[in-house]
Order: sequence, then C-alpha cells, then structure tokens
Amino acid sequence: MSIISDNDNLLSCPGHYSDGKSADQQTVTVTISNASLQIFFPETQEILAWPYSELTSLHPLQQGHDIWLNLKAETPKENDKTDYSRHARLFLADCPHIQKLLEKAPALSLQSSKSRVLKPMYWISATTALLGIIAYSINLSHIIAVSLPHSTRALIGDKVIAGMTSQENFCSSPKGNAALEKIRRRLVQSSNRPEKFSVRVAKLGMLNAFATPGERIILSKKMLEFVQSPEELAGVLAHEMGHGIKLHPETGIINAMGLAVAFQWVLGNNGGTLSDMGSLFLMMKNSRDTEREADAVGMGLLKKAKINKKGEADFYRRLHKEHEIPEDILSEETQAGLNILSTHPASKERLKTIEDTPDWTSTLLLSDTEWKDLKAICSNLETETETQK
Amino acid sequence: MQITEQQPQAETTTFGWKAQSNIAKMAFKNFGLQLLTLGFYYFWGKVEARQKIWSSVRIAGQPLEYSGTGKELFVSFLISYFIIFGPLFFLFELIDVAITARFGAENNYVFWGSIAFYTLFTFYFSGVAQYRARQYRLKRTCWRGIYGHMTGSAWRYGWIYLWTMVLLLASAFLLMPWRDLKLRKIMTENTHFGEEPLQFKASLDELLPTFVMTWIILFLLASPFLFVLGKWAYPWMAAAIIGSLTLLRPWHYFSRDSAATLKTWLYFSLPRLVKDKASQLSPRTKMVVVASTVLVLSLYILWIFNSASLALLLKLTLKKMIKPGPLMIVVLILLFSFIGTAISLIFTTYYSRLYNLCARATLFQGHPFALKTSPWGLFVLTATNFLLALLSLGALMPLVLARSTNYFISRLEVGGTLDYSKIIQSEVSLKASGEGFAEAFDVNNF
Repeated sequence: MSIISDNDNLLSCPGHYSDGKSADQQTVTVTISNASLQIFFPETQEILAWPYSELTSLHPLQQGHDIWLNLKAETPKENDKTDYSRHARLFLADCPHIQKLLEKAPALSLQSSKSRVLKPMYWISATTALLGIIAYSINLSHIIAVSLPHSTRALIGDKVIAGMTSQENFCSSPKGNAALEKIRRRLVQSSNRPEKFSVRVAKLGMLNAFATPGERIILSKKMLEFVQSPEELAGVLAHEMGHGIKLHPETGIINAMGLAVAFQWVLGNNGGTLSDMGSLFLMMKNSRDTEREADAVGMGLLKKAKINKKGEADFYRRLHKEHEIPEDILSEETQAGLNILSTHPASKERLKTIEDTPDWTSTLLLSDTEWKDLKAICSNLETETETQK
Repeated sequence: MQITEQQPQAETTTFGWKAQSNIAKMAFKNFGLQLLTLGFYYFWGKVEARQKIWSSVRIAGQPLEYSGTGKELFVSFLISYFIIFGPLFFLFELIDVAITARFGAENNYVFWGSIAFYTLFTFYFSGVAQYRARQYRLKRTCWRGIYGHMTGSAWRYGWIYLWTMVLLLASAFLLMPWRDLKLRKIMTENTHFGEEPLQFKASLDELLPTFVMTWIILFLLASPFLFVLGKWAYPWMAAAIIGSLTLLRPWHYFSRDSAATLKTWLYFSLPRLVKDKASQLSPRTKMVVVASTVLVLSLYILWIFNSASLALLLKLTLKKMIKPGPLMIVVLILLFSFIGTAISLIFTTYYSRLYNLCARATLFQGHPFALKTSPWGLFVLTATNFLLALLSLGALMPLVLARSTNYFISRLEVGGTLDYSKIIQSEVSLKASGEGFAEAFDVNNF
C-alpha cells in the first residue's frame, strides 16, 4: 500500500539513492510528506522514510541548487559491520520544492549553517583579542626574558656575536684594553647592579654599538673612530648597558618570535619573507620605546658614575649633523614618516632629552694618554681573533 | 508475443564540472572573515572552499563530497605547531647555540652542517606531510557515500621523498622525471576508492625525451647568467639556488605571501585612515600611508628572496663572504625572475606530458584514465591563475584552485565502463588527524 497521497505527489522530485554499501545507485522518487521524507523505489515498490530531524547535508539547501542529503552520523553499531545507513546518499537535482523541505528541516538552511560556524568564531576571536591585550599589557616577553638563566642568555649572546662577527678580528691591545676596562668598570660599579658586562671592539665597518643577550656589548671600530672624547664613548656604553640592564635584547628576541608566530597565525599561516616582515612595523615601534628607556637608564648610569653628560650630547649633535638628513630639506610629513620607519628616536629628540636633564658634578674619566691608547686599540698589530667562550 | 528482456543500461562514467555557487564571492567573504576573526576562520574557510570545489566536480553526474571540518584542521594545526614542531624547533635552536658555543660559528662545518640538517629535516617532513595530508583528504572525500582512503606509511614515504630529493639535487634535476613517476606511483597505488585500489603503470621512456629537451633549453638559457656572475658565483649561487626554489614552488605560494603583504598594509594603514576622516587626512597619516605602501611594494620585490635565501644572504654578507651592492641585487632579482619565468614557460611542456602520462598510467578496475592537457592550455591556465592570485593578493586562491580543478576534470575520461556495484564501502576506519603537518611544513596545502 502506497502511503504517498495525491497531495504529496505535488511535492515530489526525482532523485538518486545510493545505499552506502556500494557506489551503485537507484532512481527513486522523493516526496516531502508531513511526517518524513519518503523515498520511493519503483523497482521494488518499497518506501524508505527519513525523519526530517535526522536529515543532514554538507551544503545548506538553496533554491536552484542540487541537493544531496544523508542521515546524521550515529555511533556505528559496534558489532554490526553491515550498518551502512550513515553512508547512504540521496541526490536531488533541480528539485523545485526545496523551500517546503526547509520548512520541515530548518537546520538545513543557509542561516542555520552560518550561525553554527560564526557564533563560536566571534567568541573565540574576542577571547583571543582580550588575551592578546593582557599579554601585551603585562609584557609577557619580558617576564620570560627575566626567567631565563644567565648562562642561557650568555650562550645566546655569544652566538649572536659569532654570527655577526665571525671571521672578524676583535681589536685588542694591552693599553687600549685597560682604558676601555676603566670606563666599563666605572659605569658598572656605580650602577650597583649585578650585571658585569663585557665590552669588546670589533672590526665592523658600520657605525654601531650593540648589546646582545647576556650583557655583551660590541663596539664597532667605526664607532670608536667617530667618538671624540671618553665621555662620548661612555655615553654610548651607558646606553648599551641600559639595554642590558632592562633585558631588551632578550625581550626583543622573544618578542620577535612571538610576533612572527602571531602574524603567521592571524595572517592565515602564510610563510615566507613577507609574513615575517609583517611584524616589522610593530617591532620598529617597540624598538623606539626601548631606545628611549635605554637612554634614560644610561643617563642614570652616567650620573652615578659622575661622567659628564656633555659627551653624550656632543655625540648626538654630531651624529645628527653628519649622518641624518637635514630637516630643512625634508617636509614635516616626510620627517614624520621617516621617524615611523626608524628603529631609533631621532637624534634631535634624544639631544633635547639630554639637554633638558639637569647637570651634575663630574670627574675626569680618562687621561689624554689613556684616550689615545684606546683610540689606537684597533691599529695595534696584535689583534686577536674571536674565540668562543 | 516475444518479450525481450532489456538489459539494464550501464552507467557511463563522465567527468564534469558544475559550479554550485559563486566561488569568487565566497573567497572574498572568507578573506574578510579571516581578518575579522584574527585568523581563526582560516580553517573553516578552507573547509567551505573545499566543499564547494569538491561538490562542483561531477562524476557520472553526481558530486564529490568533502566531509572534513574546520575543527579537525584547527586541532591538528594546534598539535603540530605547539606540541610537536614548535618545541622541537626550540630544542634544535638550543642545541645549535650549544654547538656554536663549543666549536665556534666561524667553523664552516658547523655553519653548513646546521643548514644541511635543517634542509634534510624539512625535506623529510615535507614528504611525510604531503602523504598524511592526502590520506586525510581521501578519508574525507566520498562519492555516492563511498569514501576513499590510502594505505601505506607516511613515514616511509618521507624517507623516499628525502633521498630522491637529494639525488635530484645532486643530478642537477636530471632525475626529475624518474622521481616524479616514482612518487606518483607510491601515492597512486596506495589510493583506494572503497575497497578498490588504483594501479599505476607508467613508462619513463614516454617522458624522457621531452624532459631532456626541456632541461637542455633551460640550461642554455641560464648559463649566460652563471657566466656573468663570475667570481661571485659561489656564495651567491647557494643563495640563488635556494631563492629560485621559491619560484619552483606552486604559484599559489606567491599568492599567500602577497596576501600577507596586503593584510599587513591593511592592519597598519587602515586604522589610521579610519581614525582620521578621509577628507581630512593629517600630514602624518598621509606619510604613514605612503611609507607603508612603498614598503609593501618593496616587499613584493623582496618576495623573490624567500626567508631561507634572505637569511642566508644576510648571514653571508655579515660574514663578509659576499659584498652586496645595488648592481648585485638587481642582477639577482633579474636572475630569479628570469629563471622563474623560464621554468614556468618551458616546464609546461614537460608537465603537460607528465599529467597526461600519469592519467594514462592510472587504472581503476583495469580501465585507464585519459587526460588531454596541452602545453599551451596549461600555460594559459597557470598564467591567468597567477595574475588572479597576484591582483587579488591571495584572496581569490579558492577561485584559482577551482579553475585548475575545472581544467583537469573537464579533460578527464575513463576508458571503459565502471561497475559501480563492485565499488564496495571499505571497513577502514575514517578516523584521521587533520593536516597539521602540512600546515607546519607549508606543503600542497589546499
């Protein structure tokens, strides 16, 4: 006895049914009845009823599109390997009664499908954003940096130096080393800090000094040639020590790794140079903030060591004059843009900060002879090849 | 009256493409959602794109289905990144630091040794990742309710992938056809649809003449550049080889990098633009937008240097092994561009042959497939897809992949009539762990 009424025939579509056991298919007639989806097999005259509540589809149902339905996956009956019902498929091409079907099975609609995916997505994103803000606010990178043992930081610092200066000679002479040590000791002792710092001059062709993890400071030969007084050099060293005291090198490395991972995550797991560069702007901004912090700590060291701040001021004045583009050439916008792209605050800004700081009493740092010896440290025939600790 | 019993008409197996919806629109929507959800939607968006592409493929008029979920991909990614490879790479870094401290970084054995180790490690796990990704996708692909699956071991495949890659490089790519067929044979013969396995019977003889001609032409075209580089050749060539491998990667890798560029620009420029009213942009805002746009355009050029080659170039420069100058940079960019374009053009002839041969060599129920790609058709497809990806900065990647699938499916046939009643559902478990390895190693990842 057919349970398909005449009225139901108006809501029928031709379709194809696969039983999930093999890829063979049968042509069927599908009827949208009140109680269930009725699948009629003309060859065997049998009817299979699929309850609307059990229907599922990989694609939301839409008018004008093909649809294919299956039953919701149940836990397969463990002992019944012949239960293929969850793999059975019903395929309907160009069925005009999709709207009626959606009335019976609203979970198959596009809206329902979107809601299932997007609602939890927004919650997850909001939570992640909040966690990101918290992590950024408490400077998680710095906390991690502080927890690293000194030996690990020193190892990393040695590796950084080796990577940058390998096959380079470090400058060394007995008298030059002694003069440099004098400046170093005065800054370190006055700081009352546990960090000892090691300072070396490397034969690098760039005007730079840098601090690495583990309180290592490298001065380039060109930097040594640029500075014109022991006080200028002390200013540079004090600034780099400021980085070391605040664990900026360590924090910077952890930060960079975290940013790289975060940007790969947010930007869709894209690898390659460009996604690595995606963190560049943020790192630049962070870099300027750390430079300002190192300036402040360095100034404190100079004050306690009773080293004249004039040296540092002279340094930035000459640096600005000789190495930065004059402001009258640049428009305000260009200058502002260059500042955004720079890792350091402009020398003019740093100079102003120094000049605004009240003076303090100072004592002689190095004698003229000692200063000459230090300046000649790289011209000594006895240069030492870098050795790893 | 004679009654003639009619034999049931066997279904002919045809392959076709019937797009279910506007894939371009979906691609842009997913792109936006990905940004809005800080990247989380990437996995669900990938699933949606695959579902649309799979369902557009019609076999005997009925669609393929993709039943993977975003949650599976996401969890697999988390496990691979944060539990397996993240800690592993951190450990490698610590070991590297210790070895460098002990032996010194100027020790060339240490330097090149670490590069060799990372390269071999990456090759091996790239192979493993490819195999596992394919295993996963087959288990999530069904037709008329019958699922695919793969047998065999991904770990074993990884070793074969690795040592054949080493031989490939050592042979200056002369062994490419042999390797291509070897790897495809493993993949194909381990592929099952239901309980029915595929077979693969290919002959290298059909591929060699085309490949040898291709290789010779490429070598002749590249050799003037090698000559020009002259005494700079050694360290630069190491970087150039690594860099040009970038261009050998599937073109859609470029689209992902360029997508990252756009997103970076959006993140840093757009908030400022929104903050200042568009008609009243402050000089500072204008400068930031201009500067960041210039940087973005510069990064396009820098894309040619992938991370590995850029890192190597920087390291070699700092070690004073090479002396970069503007002329060298320009030469390198031209070299990479030339090599990349030449490879794409010349190799379409080879790849067309390869794809057609692999289809002929693949048998299902004893019937071979047939694929009718042409070098010119393949080149036009690749070039137009490249432009689509480039101009949309990666957002339209689902569309370009749909176009590629459409191209191949529309040219595919099977010789003979398949007996669908003999394609039986396999009892292999459908449990699969997602594509975390493929995400981690960035291989064949759509």
